[in-house]
Amino acid sequence: MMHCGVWERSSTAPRMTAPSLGRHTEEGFRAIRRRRGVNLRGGARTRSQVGRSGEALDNTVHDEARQVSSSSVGNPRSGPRVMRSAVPRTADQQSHSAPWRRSTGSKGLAAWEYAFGSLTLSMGHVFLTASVDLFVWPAVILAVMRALLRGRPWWWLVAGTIAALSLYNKFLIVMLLAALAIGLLALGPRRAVWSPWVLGGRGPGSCGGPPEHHLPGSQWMAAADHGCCPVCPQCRQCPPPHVAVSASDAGSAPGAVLGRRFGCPAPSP
Amino acid sequence: MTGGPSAASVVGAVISLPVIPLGVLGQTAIPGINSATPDQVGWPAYVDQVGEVVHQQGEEDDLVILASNYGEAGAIDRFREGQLPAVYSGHNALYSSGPPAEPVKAVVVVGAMLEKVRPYFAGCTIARSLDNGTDVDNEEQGEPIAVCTGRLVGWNSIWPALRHLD
Repeated sequence: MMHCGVWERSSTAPRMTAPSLGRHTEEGFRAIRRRRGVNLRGGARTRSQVGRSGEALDNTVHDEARQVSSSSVGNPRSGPRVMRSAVPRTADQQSHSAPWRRSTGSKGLAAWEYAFGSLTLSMGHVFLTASVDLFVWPAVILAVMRALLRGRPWWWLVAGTIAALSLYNKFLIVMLLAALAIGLLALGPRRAVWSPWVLGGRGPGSCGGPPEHHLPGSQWMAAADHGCCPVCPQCRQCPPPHVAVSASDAGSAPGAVLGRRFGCPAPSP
Repeated sequence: MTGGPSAASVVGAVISLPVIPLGVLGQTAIPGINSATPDQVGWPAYVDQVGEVVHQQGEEDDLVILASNYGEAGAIDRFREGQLPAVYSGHNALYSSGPPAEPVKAVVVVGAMLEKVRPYFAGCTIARSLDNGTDVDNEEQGEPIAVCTGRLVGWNSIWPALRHLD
């Protein structure tokens, strides 16, 4: 959010009237592409040439875009500030003269509504599996946005790891991933769907377990059918179904109770 | 600008958080809008009532509680404080904790599961119904607490019939 706000002020894009990140980004990129002929920086080009061939151009543009934005806030990581001088200041001046028109208001409204919406409050108050998704979904979306909008493809791995971990909690994240894939296929950049980073992001989802149980969730379900759970160390040697769980309350320590709930062998009385 | 989100937040809080006094919650539309709110009501009372029925059975050693869902099972486990026998349920993952031990011939059945349990016992008697005392209608309100005795078949035959994923 911060990134976008900074960017907005330093880009040639006209003042935003809606929190349309895509349009905003596209205009920022277009402005940069217009200037590439005169202002190409060796550093950005070298870096992009190291990367995957198909993504070289986009990476160059992304890198330059990042430099435009970071130079305006004096980020020590930013390169020479050639880009900044080429940026017309009209948008900057407009946003200062009419701060309430900046899209930060819309973002604030969206954030407020997400935080205090009925479902957020409800799931936040009662701890359900869905409560975890309140964190997981925005986290995955944030990682994907960073991968796509900032040209940092390793964020796909972060997205994949978060999604894989959340499968232990709930399967609904699959719908988000499907929606993201459909969105990318429908509106692009389609190339992103087939990038090695995205394929790599699927890696964490297939960790461990026998080949037929690649997803943690399906591993869980298969294990549950055998009366044990994959998070228990004992899972590798499943107890005979049900006999290990006694009606006695011998294992009433919190860990033992949880273990009993998930079908782990009860400690001997 | 802030009026919109503030109003929305107030509505969200009233629907989702326990801000309406318990005494009047049953007269509002909120339990019908958000089932998570009424489902937070009455658990200690329900467990007390289950406890009454259990203790009426005297010193029966091999008596366990069969709960219809994880809400009941969790509440009984949380509030029994060592005073009640173990609780079992066929709901979701609790199913994989397995059935009661084989010597168990009598159970106290809580909730709507009773009709599924009944065929496997010589007799089931409804002792009372669950009542949270606040006139808030939720999934448990009015459901039976029953005592079933004289188990007819082995637990391994009964248990799969009590399984439900929902």
